[in-house]
Amino acid sequence: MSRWLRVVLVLVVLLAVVGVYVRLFAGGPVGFVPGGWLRGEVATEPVVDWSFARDEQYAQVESRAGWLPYSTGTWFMVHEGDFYLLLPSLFGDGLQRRLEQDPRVRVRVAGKLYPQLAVRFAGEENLAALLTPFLRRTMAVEISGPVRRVAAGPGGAEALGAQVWIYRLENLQP
Amino acid sequence: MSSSRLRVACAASALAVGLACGPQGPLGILPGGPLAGEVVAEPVDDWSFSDAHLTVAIETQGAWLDHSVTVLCVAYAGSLYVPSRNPTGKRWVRNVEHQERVRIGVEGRIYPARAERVTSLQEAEAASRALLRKYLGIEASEVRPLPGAPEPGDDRAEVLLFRISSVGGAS
Repeated sequence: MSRWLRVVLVLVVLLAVVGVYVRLFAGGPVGFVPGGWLRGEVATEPVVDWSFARDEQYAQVESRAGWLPYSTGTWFMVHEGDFYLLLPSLFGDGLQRRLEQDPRVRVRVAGKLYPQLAVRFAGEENLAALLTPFLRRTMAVEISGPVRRVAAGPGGAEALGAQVWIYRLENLQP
Repeated sequence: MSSSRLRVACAASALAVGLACGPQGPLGILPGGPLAGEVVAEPVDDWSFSDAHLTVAIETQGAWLDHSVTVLCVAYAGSLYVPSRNPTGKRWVRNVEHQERVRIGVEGRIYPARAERVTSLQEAEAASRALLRKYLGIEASEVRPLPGAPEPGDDRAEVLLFRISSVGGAS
């Protein structure tokens, strides 16, 4: 076996070991590697106002859909006290597919876990107000006026199927 | 430092140097060295073909080594635009500020080009609009790019935008 092939094999095995470790034992995602069960203190009170989460850059979301829990870091925004998950298709649809299967999630914000239900937000009303804080934080742009989601068809964005899935979190009834 | 730790450190350094200088482009989020592939001699008048790709590679010229990374991009009015979010400390941005000649890698083909910072607010607005459409699938009637660095306490990003103009294989 050539030296380079051995190096590549070792790297692949190392990456696999890291992936398995993070998924099973790390207590959440590590960087861009998805994790499994989120570790942290579970909140017992329902959240009425998520404004406290605004200081965080990302939220970590755990889905129990599938045979192993899956957790990943996501963008989010807080609008009028509500918490919205923002899942651009640019980063893949791993979490979105799971949310469609089972909307029950646990969200970790500032080390604390909040059991929630992720409800798909498909409307276009107030989309500018909803998205602007997020767009300021990620793209340094502000938007206003009517905002619409681009319909499928030929062309750049449509060819890539680019879209952003939005889910509003609701307190999960115990 | 123990000998085993020294060995691990040496291996990691060698790997990092290999990735940074090796005869290949970037690998996902890992930066690379000079791009490898067929160099396109004809200048590109319309970059819209690049919109079929989520990312492209950009190779920049450093003082010692060529450095390539994967970047987002969007075509607008025939030009290609590449944003850099929170650019402070990014090596490729530093390189471009010193040497505007770059090479863009799209699907194994290499396009020699020039990268210029966009300073016109109107142009930035149009490119930002195209970026929103390409990457988020949203179309906003009014888009306002926020230029410059944010004020202290403002959590907004800083974004630099570069216009890529093809120069053909003569570069």
